[in-house]
Amino acid sequence: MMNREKIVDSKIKFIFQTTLILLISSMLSMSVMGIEPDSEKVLSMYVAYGGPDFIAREFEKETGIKVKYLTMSSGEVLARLRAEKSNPQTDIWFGGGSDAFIRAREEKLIAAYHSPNRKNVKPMFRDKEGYWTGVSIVVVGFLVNQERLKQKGLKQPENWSDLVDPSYRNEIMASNPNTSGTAYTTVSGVLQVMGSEKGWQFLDRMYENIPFLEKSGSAPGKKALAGEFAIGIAPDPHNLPLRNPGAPLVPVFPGDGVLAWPSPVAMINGAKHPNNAKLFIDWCLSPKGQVVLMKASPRVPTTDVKTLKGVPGVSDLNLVAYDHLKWGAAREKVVEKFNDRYPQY
Amino acid sequence: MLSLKKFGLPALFFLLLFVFVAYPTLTVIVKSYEYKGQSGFGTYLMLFTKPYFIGLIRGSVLIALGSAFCSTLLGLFLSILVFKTGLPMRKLVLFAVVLPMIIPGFVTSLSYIFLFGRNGLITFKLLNLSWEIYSWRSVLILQTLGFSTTTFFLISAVLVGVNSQTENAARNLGANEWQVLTTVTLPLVRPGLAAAFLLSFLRSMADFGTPFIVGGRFNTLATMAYTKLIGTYDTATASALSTVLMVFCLIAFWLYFRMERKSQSFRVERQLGGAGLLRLPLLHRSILVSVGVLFSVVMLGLLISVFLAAFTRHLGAGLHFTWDHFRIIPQQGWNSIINTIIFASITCLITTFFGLVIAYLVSRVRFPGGRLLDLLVTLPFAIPGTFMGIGYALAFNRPPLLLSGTWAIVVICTVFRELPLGFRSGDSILKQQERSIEQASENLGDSKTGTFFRIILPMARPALMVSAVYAYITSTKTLGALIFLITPGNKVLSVDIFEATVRGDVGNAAAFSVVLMMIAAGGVGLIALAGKRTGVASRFKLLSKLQIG
Repeated sequence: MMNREKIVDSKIKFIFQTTLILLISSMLSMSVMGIEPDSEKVLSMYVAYGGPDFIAREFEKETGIKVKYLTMSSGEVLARLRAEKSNPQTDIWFGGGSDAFIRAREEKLIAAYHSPNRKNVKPMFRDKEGYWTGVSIVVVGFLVNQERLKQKGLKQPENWSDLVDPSYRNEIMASNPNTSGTAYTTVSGVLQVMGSEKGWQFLDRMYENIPFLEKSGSAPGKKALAGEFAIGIAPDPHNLPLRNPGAPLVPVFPGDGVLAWPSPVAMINGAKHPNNAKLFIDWCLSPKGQVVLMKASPRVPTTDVKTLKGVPGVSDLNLVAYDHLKWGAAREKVVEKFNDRYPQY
Repeated sequence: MLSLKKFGLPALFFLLLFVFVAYPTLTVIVKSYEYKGQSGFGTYLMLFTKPYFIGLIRGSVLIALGSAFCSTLLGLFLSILVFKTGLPMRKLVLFAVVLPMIIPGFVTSLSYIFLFGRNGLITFKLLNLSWEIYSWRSVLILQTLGFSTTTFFLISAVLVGVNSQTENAARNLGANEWQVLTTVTLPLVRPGLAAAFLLSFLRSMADFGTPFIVGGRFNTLATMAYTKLIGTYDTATASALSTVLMVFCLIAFWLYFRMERKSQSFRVERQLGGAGLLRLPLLHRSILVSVGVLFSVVMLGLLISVFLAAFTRHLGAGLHFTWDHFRIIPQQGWNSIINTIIFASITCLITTFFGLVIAYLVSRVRFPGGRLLDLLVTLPFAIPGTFMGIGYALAFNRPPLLLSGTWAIVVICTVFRELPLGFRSGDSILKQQERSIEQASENLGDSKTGTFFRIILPMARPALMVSAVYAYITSTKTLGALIFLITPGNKVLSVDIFEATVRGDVGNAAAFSVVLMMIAAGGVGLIALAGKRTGVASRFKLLSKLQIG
């Protein structure tokens, strides 16, 4: 009896050891040979970025990995990741505001990944420890519908300070900082430039001109395109005029300071397809991927690739030295103050 | 053994309903009883001391009362026009009134902005008006139009049952046509009016798409719960808001339930002669006609402008034809279209069949807790969609029932939301069924199960078709409950439309809407076919029962 038990015991031991060795060696070989796609060739993403269908197709062409995605605002992504923390439903968070990524990092919702292509990205546009990497920067400006402006007999706004003019009453559309990165950057950027007290006073006057707020950052620009409002505070104002050549739409980069933040990509903590996710991040930061991203959504890139026609480069803009680390951490407080100060929205 | 056979099936339904109706409901209520990590009424205290919350309740209730009143009145006018006058435009009105069945409310909102918006074709381009479209007024107008189908069916079902002999008796006693209408016909229709009012109130309270898109600054309990959950993931506040919302809905539903029972005990006799037409004076007729024409024109206008928005470049640039908005469909839409059709088909088959089974159990097989089962099945109808969605999202994203992210949770949620429909249609089918045939089958030695499959099911088939198709249509349109449950792998069209709308991509939203309407319109066509075999009166009766989607 004793013998038989021993034999069984040693057999189990043997099986255990071999699997361990196999596991370790496969892990080693993987790290040496570069990343192999997961056995299931799919990648699931939450997207807060323009032109996701084009990006998905190009990535699939390159790697054979099929991308499934859901578009939403960055606040919504954060909310979903928190809800799904115990059972992540997605592999990649692509696009949105860096502030939300900073929060996600604190809450361990995203995982670190040091892509070899990160060296192409300027340090101010990436997380030090590799949790997120900016693929492009988003600039905040105005989209002005010339036709509506003329009909209403209004002047073209050139600066942030113009927006408090009472003649623009009910002709400006913006989004809600509760749900939109663009809106949060506007609010916090104003606070940084003007200081807390003067900043809130300025915002009080600006919001008097805005009848209500949209949920998504990109909606105000589209409302200006549709001629519903004369001015929309919009992310990447050069974008819509490029896509709608006939429209009476003019982008304005405010002369008194352009606000900008990096739009990152990150892998979800506990992603079901981690290798596919890593391949996607590598691809986004590669020269080829950067061109695809620019074609999908003509943004100012974070790496040194040539910009498309109509897209400004970083040096063309009067960028505010926006402290996205500080304001990313302060988001909850600022938004709460916003909600208390503007209960009408 | 016998008891297992007798109680096994009810026990199974009990178990399922407890898990998928009671458990998520309780989860939301428990969650609302949590404040900054501690249990207690903190969230409610915090809410009730904020003026914005009181304003939120007042706004929601006032708009619901307003929409309920206006849509009931509109439904009554249209119903009288179609069934009590011989006016030639009845067909047009009848067509216009079923349109809201296939056009989801948030799609009407889009075309409403297209026509009457700040840069709308009619208001700005044609009349050069500048009125503030984004307000509670637009919510009121759209809900009134949208609920008119429901009120029309509920009122018509009673109106066509009014015995023309009663009206004739009044005439013989010297009443003029106006007196016949106000002293005989309308009092007889009163239960239908009350039911229509309460159901519209309930639907307005629960509606979240319309105020979201056209409300502007105007928020309701339903939209605020959404913003709290999606915006800041404040589950406690979202749950508390939803719980308050549900209390109002439950009250309205309870009143409706009582009203319905009363209107059933007050049985109107079967129509013997032809339709009892009223020969109203010219003034009254012209009022009815103008209401009917205005309603039909607006409804058709809204329908047409969905197509306009889908096929033109963008509002600002005039009306240039383009296919561009449909390009998004092969890129991302096929998945949603297929999902929508599959989910809706599964839902309608399950709810119609099991609805009838449960109705049979409750009314024919006596077992303890029958009333409770009745209540549990009907409950999801009184629960606002957003509440149910939050409940599912919170209850099923952790073990033991880890369902979030699967297609199963979407289907289960729609099945239990539509089950009241199947149950109520099954119930009304059984009430109309001749009991003696069943008894004959049982006397000849067949079991209850055998009787169900060999007698009930074949006899109920035409009516089941109607309710199945209706369940199919309503599940293609479901939004509120699903918005929290959709993940990249299991998208449906209604959520695609909503997302595109929120992004401001009106063209894409309209293109998706056109597809969704075609899917739903196919269903309406089937209802019409099935209806041919059931007759107008019973079809109306059934449709009025089903107006709870």
